[in-house]
Amino acid sequence: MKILLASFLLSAASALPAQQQATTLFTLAKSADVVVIATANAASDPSVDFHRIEFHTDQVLKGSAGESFAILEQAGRCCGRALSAMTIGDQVIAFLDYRGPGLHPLGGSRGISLATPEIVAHVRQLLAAQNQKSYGEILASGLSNPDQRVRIDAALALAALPSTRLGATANQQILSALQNELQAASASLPAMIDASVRFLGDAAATTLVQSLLTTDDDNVSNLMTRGLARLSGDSVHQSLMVAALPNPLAQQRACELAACIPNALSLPMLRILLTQSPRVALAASEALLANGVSAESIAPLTDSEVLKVAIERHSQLPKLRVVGKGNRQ
Amino acid sequence: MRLHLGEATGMSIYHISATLALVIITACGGSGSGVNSTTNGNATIGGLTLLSHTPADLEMQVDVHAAIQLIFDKGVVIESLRDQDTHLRTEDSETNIEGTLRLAENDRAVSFTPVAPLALEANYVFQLSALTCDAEGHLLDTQYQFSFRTLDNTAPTIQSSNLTGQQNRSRSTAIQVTFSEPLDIASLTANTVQLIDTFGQTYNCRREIAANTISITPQAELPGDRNFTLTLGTGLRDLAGNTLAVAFTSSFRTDSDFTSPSVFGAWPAVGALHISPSVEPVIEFSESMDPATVEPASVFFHDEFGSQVAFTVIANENQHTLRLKPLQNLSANRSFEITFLTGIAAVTDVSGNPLTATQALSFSTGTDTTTPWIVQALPSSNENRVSINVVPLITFNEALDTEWIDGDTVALFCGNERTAAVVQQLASNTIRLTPLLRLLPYKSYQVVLSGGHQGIRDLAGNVLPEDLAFPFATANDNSLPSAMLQPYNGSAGVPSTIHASIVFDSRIDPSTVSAATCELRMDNGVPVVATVALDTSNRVIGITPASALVPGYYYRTFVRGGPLGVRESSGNWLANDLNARFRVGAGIDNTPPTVNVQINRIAQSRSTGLIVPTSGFTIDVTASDAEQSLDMGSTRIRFTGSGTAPFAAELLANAAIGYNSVHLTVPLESAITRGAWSVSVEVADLSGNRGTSQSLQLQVDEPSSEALPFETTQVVWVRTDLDRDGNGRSDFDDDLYRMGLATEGDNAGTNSQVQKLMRDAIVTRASNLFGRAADGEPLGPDSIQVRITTRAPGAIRHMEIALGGYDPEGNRNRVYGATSTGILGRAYFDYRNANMNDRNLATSPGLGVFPGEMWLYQAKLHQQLYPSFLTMFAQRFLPLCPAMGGTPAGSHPADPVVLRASFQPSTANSEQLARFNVLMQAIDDWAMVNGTVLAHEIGHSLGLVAPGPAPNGLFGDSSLHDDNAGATEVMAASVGYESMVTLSYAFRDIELAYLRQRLILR
Repeated sequence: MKILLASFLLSAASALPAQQQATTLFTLAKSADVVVIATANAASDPSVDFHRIEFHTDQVLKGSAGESFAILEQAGRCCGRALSAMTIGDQVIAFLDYRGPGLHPLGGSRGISLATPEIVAHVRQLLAAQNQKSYGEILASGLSNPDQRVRIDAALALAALPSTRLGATANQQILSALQNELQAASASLPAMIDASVRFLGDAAATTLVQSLLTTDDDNVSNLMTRGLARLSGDSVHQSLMVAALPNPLAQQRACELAACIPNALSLPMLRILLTQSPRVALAASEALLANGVSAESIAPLTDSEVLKVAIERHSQLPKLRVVGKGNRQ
Repeated sequence: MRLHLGEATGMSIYHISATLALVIITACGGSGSGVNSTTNGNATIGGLTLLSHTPADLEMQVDVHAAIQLIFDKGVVIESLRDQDTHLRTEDSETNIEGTLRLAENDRAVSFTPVAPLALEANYVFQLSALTCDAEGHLLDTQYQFSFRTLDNTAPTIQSSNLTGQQNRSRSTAIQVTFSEPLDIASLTANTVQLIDTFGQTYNCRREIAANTISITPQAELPGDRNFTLTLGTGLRDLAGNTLAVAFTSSFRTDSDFTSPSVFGAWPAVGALHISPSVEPVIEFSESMDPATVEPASVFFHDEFGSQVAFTVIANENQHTLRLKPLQNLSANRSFEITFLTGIAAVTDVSGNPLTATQALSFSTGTDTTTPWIVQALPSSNENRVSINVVPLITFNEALDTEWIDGDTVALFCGNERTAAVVQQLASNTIRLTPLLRLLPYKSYQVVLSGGHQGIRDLAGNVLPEDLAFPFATANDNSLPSAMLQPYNGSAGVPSTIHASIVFDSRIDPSTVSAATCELRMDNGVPVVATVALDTSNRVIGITPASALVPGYYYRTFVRGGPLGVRESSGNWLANDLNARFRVGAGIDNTPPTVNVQINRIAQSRSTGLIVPTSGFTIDVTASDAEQSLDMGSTRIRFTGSGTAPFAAELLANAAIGYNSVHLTVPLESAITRGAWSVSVEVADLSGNRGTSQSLQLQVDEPSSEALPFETTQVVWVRTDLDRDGNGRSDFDDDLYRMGLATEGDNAGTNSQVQKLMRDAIVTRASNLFGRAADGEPLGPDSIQVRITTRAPGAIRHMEIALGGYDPEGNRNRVYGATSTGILGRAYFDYRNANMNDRNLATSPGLGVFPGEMWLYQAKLHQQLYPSFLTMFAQRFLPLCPAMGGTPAGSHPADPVVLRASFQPSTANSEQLARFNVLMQAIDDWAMVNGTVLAHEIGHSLGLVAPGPAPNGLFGDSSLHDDNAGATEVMAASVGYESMVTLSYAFRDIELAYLRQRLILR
């Protein structure tokens, strides 16, 4: 029996590619007809076009699978099947569906993972949960799991969980995970921002605003702004009011946030920023226009050239990244 | 017992693929013995080049019987010239002109002869498809167009104008005349375009041209209730030189004007003192004035003794401003008054309406008649290599009048285009011009100060004798320098034996490095005695104190920024001074740093057996130091082996240096000789202790075509036409209907436009990920040799991949609310892209890209969460998707307008604009997601991610994806909607190295 390194497990037996949130451990545990821990016993390919592995059932966590079962797939590493990555002797946790007479992995290669203790324990907890609150708390605790799949899947699943009120411990776990994720800026960041905004509400505002003001990555800034837009404007702007704006980058980000989330609370700050460097004054002018302040009332407070450019940019359409960029062949 | 079936099964499938390939191989790229032309040490693919053509671009008077001649560097395949993107058309036409193709000169010369003579006096456009190829599959890879005009001997004629016989015409609006063809703008002169009144007086006009229409706008308002005649002379000509046959005249009568003018403002200000005796007072009126009515009888200009001042009147262009120019200088130290009289002799406007209210303007002269002059201009006139973040400063010898310092009198131009900038009077004698955006690199700019009596002046009113221009050229470098100071700001416990190091991100101009620009200072700012030196890489400045620093004390490293500070060799300077404050500890540092080195960012554990080309591969160095006092500027990379290799300083000069890292690409000009080499790296700390990395062994070799994924450009045909679920409609279109981007019945006729937008946008996204432009054109040496097309490429061997619908292995009857299989796509894995004709089209296994699965999942998620939460997907598609309650594209009243190909958002009303934004942002997000998935699938069929270590693999895992997939990697095993629409995705470095053929697999 071979247990491979956790880091390798993440991608062992993956489809090409899977939709992350559709194939999280949470979703698979809920959707599968059968969840089983099994050991790959033998390969018994009926032809070169098909690959079949016989499994011995070690433990059934959900449904029923008999003492042994087989999974059949079309052969070929070329199609990234769940079985092609498997070695005889591997112990796996499998999420399976009955389709016709046989069992098939759910979510392609994401439906079969090497059975690490962390994944198994997490799945057991999920299968035992009785209500949304329990799910939420299990997923929140999974955010700090040493296993990367558990961590990432927990973030994705939390972001998709129907709204429910969680306990203080779970909320703190979510906040800690958000802070770590803002540092790491990995592909889980969007899910963590969504989860934080939904479960922590205004309590997430301070953390997100502070990160926003220091990031020089426009994509991450955009992501955080979209998350903050879901919170109450007052909480976001109250966080903004007490934040330090020590340099032009922070000042510019503050203006961009105020432009995306109009709120009267930001107007005094924006008027002050009109007196800063011309580029910050430009961002502040655009934010004031976005807040419905007339160009006429901004005009006495800033240079005419700044206002002219701000009006031009304010009236431009939202930026499209790939639409209408060229005539295709 | 079989452990893996990869190779065997792969072989069987490749066999099938190969069989298909034998069937479909056509003229281009049949044998796969491509020509390699090495351009930068990588084995690049030789492209096809168009060397010349006739007619030339924009040629005039082309014979109507002329054939189009094209000369290529290689023999072309005639079939490729029949691609639908190669055509001759009249301008703005969608209809191709029929013709015959002939090849000559070993198929390098192509002639296209229209079957019928071309039309006279017509504009034509010839376009050559990027898919034009030679027999070996080399593509032109760039769409090319040129225009010409056929013989034109016909004089232009007037089609219409907006004033014939008009009565009560506005006194100031433009007159427009439309011709049968565009005119030569140089022929629009004061002689050929004349506006004259009934009394024979000529009026100055501004003359402009747009397409076939000329606009004539009076510079000053015309007198009211008067007849005018516009005459267009026979000197007007078209672009071919044909002149107007007969002069054109048209008359009109202006509207009445009974409004009296009034004084708007005056200069000098009332009561001003010490005004220059050479002053020329300015009075501003509410409308165009008649300067001829300004005379001693209408204006009383006298001194305190009643002596009249003789003067002439000068009007500005629009005659709203009149300037009184005394015939001789005024007396010094005397009071003067100007009064405009009312009554019968009053000054009048151009219509004869007299001034009815008056105001006295009084001032006193001093003795200052000296014009101000400039003592310093930054940048100086004709200076080159000016930093792109320059803020021009002009300093005069004396204080200036604030009233005359603004955007009208101080401007920054790039060529003839004005650059947005804020004008400020920094001090009484200094003008600052702050560009709102960073200047463009390698461009000519000039600061222009207006002179004369409409320009800048001193407090006494002395003006500059003429306009002053200060041209300068920006540096050929669009990035500003930055520098890393070591010890870094805030460090503590720094050994007393250190020297300070300043590492710039690019080469520095040695002449700007000195004790005046780089200092080590005590905490109170007093400089420490030290030696300042720039190393041989011209990147690293060392400041070595004459004696050891004092433990427990704070010190500061200072680097001067701005034009007087350290500058890059390109000319750009630091935006600000740089400072780092650190505290010296008690200890002495004898411990060397720990150093690691990687080739092509491959972890050392995977570096065994690496084969790299002679140049183009990357080297990464990381170091760590217990005392946190690394001196990364001391990095020395050493190659040991037989042959030639770059010197350490040469490599460092081009490296990206961080606080604890160095990254560089071995340049072509420093190519390494083939053979076995070892690489090791030394890095010192600031106390001079040197650490050395492990030695890495590698093989340097010239790549051959068999080891590379691209003999020639891989063309990929994305199939959006397939109907794999058999419902009678393409799967791609099925997706559009589901998402609300198409309407059943298509009454508004908008479905095809949205289909095109979506298809093109998805392919744009995938092209961008391969380093190509939206049109699929390569952008530079880093562009990958993959060209994606949305229609049959015809004569070229190519890959095909299905795009649209559900996963064929799932239930095809699923609807909104059903469960997704979770699979977004599948494709063949083709090691080293051995087969350029992969067909990712099958339904069993289900191959292609399945946007329908993403839709099912996101829809179900929305059902679960809404209304308490709105997902990113729902933000875009709630207004559109019919199953979500939206109004699909083609069903909203604004859609017939906003979905027209010619729609201009600038002309939209608010409802149309809102709807346009909803539609376009939804398409944009969806295209970002599916374009990324498309790039992923294509990646598999190019050989990503070959499992196992180099030189056989690219460190893919057993599922053929990135192992330990990090943030936003295209070849990660699983991806998320939110990430794909908000974060920047890319292929991993090692994958890019492979795709760019800088890494060889064996």
